[in-house]
Amino acid sequence: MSNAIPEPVTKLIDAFSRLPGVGPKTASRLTYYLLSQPEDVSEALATALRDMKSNTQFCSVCHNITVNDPCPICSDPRRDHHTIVVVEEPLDVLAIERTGSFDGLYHVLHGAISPVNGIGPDKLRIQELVTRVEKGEILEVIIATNPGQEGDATAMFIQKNALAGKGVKITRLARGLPVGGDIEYVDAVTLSRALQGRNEL
Amino acid sequence: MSNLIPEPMSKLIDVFSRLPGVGPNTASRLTYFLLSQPDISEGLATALRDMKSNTHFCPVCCNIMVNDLCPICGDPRRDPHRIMVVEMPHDLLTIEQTGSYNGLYHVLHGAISPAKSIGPDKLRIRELVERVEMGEVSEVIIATNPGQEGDATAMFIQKYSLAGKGIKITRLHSSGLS
Repeated sequence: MSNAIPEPVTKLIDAFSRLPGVGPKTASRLTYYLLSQPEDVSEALATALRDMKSNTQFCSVCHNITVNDPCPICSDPRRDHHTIVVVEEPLDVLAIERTGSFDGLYHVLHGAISPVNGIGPDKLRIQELVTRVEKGEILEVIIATNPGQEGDATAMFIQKNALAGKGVKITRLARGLPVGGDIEYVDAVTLSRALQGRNEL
Repeated sequence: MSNLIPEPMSKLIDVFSRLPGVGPNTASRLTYFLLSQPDISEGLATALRDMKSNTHFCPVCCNIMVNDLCPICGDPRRDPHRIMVVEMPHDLLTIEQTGSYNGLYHVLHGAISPAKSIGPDKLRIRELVERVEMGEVSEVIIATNPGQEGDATAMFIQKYSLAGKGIKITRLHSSGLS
């Protein structure tokens, strides 16, 4: 009886269920919702999808997503052009910007080294990072890849291979206790990293 | 800080978050995901346009269909004297999968919901009344969802729309448990 669903409808359900976190049930709920709405709702979604692709590009300096190249951060003269934070994804830039405590520049790798997923260093924007550093203006590279196997591997690769001997200071975000947490419940790895990274008062 | 999100992206986040069950966080996760998946994004845009341009509602039962003849309404082996009233097209599919109903359908495309400001005029109730008035129908089985909205819709159809039309009106049995 599933052939009773018209093909254009199953196609849309299919397209929705390829999104992360959207299963077949959610996909068909979204599809039937759009079906019951006036045409401009799905038209708006289709247009927004195409516009995002055609009106954005990667910043040629930091490789973050942007409308204009270079991006607003790279072209801001008030920011510290000697320090760059290396992140995995564009969303990580937003997270750091929200803290308001960093005023340097960024470098977006667009992923992390992951042999399991077939992502080697050549698939990331690591060569571009090396080129930026070789221009000589950068004094410190802060590696802010995610704590975990892939982020650790990426950080290590950048430090030991890509930027080795380039004469720039390489640091990594500290791992420590979460604000509002209880020492009693913190996992052993985090606690031992927090101990290693203790600060003098 | 939100000016750091390029405008075409914030627009897509906005459109996504208007969908039911999609909040701002999910919307931005989907948007950034699609950024790195141009094929999926393009496929979704095409599927959206295709669905709207290649489908329409059956003029009789208001179900969604592709060809000019609805496969159910146009099937002479089905019993044209009984109509089952459902809220959404997928409800119809669920009933069809049981294989135990052989009559026709009527799809309302929603249920009465004052909270979402969906009144009877936004549903295909008028079309149902017209079908009944044509005289061929002897039983209307109301299969709206059990729950406030479905109950209100069933009651409205029974007490107002089809009142005094001289047909049998029944509702799907709902056990007190679920």
